[in-house]
Amino acid sequence: MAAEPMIRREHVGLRREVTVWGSFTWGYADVGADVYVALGLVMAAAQGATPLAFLIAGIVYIMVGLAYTEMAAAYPSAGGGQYFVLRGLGDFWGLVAGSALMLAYTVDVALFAMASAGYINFFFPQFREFHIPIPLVGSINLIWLGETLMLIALLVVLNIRGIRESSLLNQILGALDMILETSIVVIGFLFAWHPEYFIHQWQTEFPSLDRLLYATSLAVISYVGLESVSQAAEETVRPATVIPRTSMALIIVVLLFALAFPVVSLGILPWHEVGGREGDPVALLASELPFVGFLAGPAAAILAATILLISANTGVMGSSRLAYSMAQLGLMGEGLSEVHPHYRTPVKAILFFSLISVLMAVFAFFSGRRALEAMADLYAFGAMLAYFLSTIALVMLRIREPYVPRPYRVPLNFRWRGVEIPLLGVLGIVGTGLMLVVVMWTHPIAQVTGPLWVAVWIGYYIWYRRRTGRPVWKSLPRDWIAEQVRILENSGEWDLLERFRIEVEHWRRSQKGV
Amino acid sequence: MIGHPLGVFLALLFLVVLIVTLIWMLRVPRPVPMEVARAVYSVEAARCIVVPIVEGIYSERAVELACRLGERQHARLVLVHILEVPYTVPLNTPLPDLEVRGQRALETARFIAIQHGMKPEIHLVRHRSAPEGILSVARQVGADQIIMGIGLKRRTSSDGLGRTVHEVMRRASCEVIIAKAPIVE
Repeated sequence: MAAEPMIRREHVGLRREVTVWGSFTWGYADVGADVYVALGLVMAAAQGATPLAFLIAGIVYIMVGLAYTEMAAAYPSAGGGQYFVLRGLGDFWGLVAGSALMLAYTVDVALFAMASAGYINFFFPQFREFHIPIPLVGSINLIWLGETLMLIALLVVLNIRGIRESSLLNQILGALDMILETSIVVIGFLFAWHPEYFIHQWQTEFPSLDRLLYATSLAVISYVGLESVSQAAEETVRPATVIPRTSMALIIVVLLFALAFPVVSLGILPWHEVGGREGDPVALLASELPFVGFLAGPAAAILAATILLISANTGVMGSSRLAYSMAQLGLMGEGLSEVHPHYRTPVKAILFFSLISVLMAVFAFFSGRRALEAMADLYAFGAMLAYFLSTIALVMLRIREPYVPRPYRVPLNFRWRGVEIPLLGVLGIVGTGLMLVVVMWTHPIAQVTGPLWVAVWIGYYIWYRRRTGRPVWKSLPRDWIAEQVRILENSGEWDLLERFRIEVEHWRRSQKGV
Repeated sequence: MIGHPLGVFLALLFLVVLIVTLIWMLRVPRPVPMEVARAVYSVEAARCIVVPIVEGIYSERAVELACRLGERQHARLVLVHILEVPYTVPLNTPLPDLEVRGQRALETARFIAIQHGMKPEIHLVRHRSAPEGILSVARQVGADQIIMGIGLKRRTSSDGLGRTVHEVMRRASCEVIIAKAPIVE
């Protein structure tokens, strides 16, 4: 019997059930999980100056976060960064941003599955220490690799069978995780933190400039994931009102944790102990707390393993959603976004991008470097390229679509040719651009693999657009005004819709010179 | 045992910032129903407001109203005084007294607008007919609203609105708001 034919995915409106807390925890499950991975990696590189590395990356994150907040509130569509870039800069750059995000998502799956396995191994020290020497490569922890591959396989099966991420589960886990992280920080500061020890490490263990820059580019990964809040825009209740609030809260909360963890750690433990525990640095820190360490360590490990797995799952979901969005916008063929007739899920996209994640995980373990670090290299490249283009899109959208009402505007604006240009947006372009240069300069894997990944996507795009008779360098004609009305009608943001209609009418009149 | 005071301070600071942020986030403003949004933004749609000016408190109240209505959306405010020239004399006949009074009325109106931070445009227009002059300026500037202030000294059997108001209301293609001050008995 012939295999069941795949069917095209029908556009079915997503149910709006994500509340303000749901939206926050959705993002927190993604961004908040990053510190579990980044702490050890950054501390291994920045040593006593780890808080500084997190702070520099955090400043760039604030600018990117504000840009995302403005765009996600003005365009509450599920496309996220790739959609903003396509709308602001055109199809080609939309494709480049899409490819960068696709890289971030596929790496996300490998990286967070790996990190989740690392925290599971908190309970199995013999697994953590298990290494097999392999000629030309070095010693490889094959058990950790095996666990990572099993977790990816588990996510693939769950996603193919359509067991979707539960918003309620996210909310509960997000709340538990925040309580736990807060407890670690507060108990650490109250009962175990020694400022003199922190200052001693800062003064005596300050890294070279090269190492600090490298650490900063790694610290960037602790801020990746704000995208998921705007990706859920079409499922969020009153997205234009809720998303700016959740995004702003996420910016503050994540920054708070990202700065607090290294400060607490350096006041309690020597940097090389935390930096040496690549797989489970937060669990190590929690287990060193007085009074509650015996309980906090295992609790942190369990919660971290769970939340990191959820974060890996957002990568599986995100890559298939992104493939669908890119196919809808004419940037790639619809083959990968087809829905299986039985499971009603995009099986091809899930399998294809998960296979790439598996290859990346294997590559990371065999790259001759620390596996998590190798993945973090690529993650930082993908995220920074997408963020760089998104901040440019912010400025371009202000120029091209001044009539779109923005419930939240990036502060500090100056007028240029009658348009309000966000100063922080311009600084964000410079910041993310510099960070991209630093990533390219200091990350040997990202130097080659990152641009190669984007080049392969561009090659495919050129081939696809030529084959379908569409322009390669020009954008397809689109009625963005009608699209905006559709988005706002669907979101139920009536005041924004009315404002949009008025602004468009006035803009049209001003264009005609009335 | 409690540790270093700086550690205690940092722990408290961390908690306060976290809690305040979460409380702020959870206090979402109430949703605006579609009908309410339409009503609110139909008023805010006025981006160009024309106010005909004559001497007297009624015009000045109309300017104040126009400023309040247009302030939020930074509307363009056009203040116009029509110098009605009789058909019996050429249109450019010097009418120094009327011109001075018109200018004075416009200056008073401008002062009110400036108090609101608005930069009004001033037009002193010679025309044979006041309503026609107002409508002509409104067409030229693409007015969304004309706000006219009127006042009656005593009750009348008719509506007492006068020819200019009637003509403007009947022929204007934009919204016309008549601000009629109460009669002082």
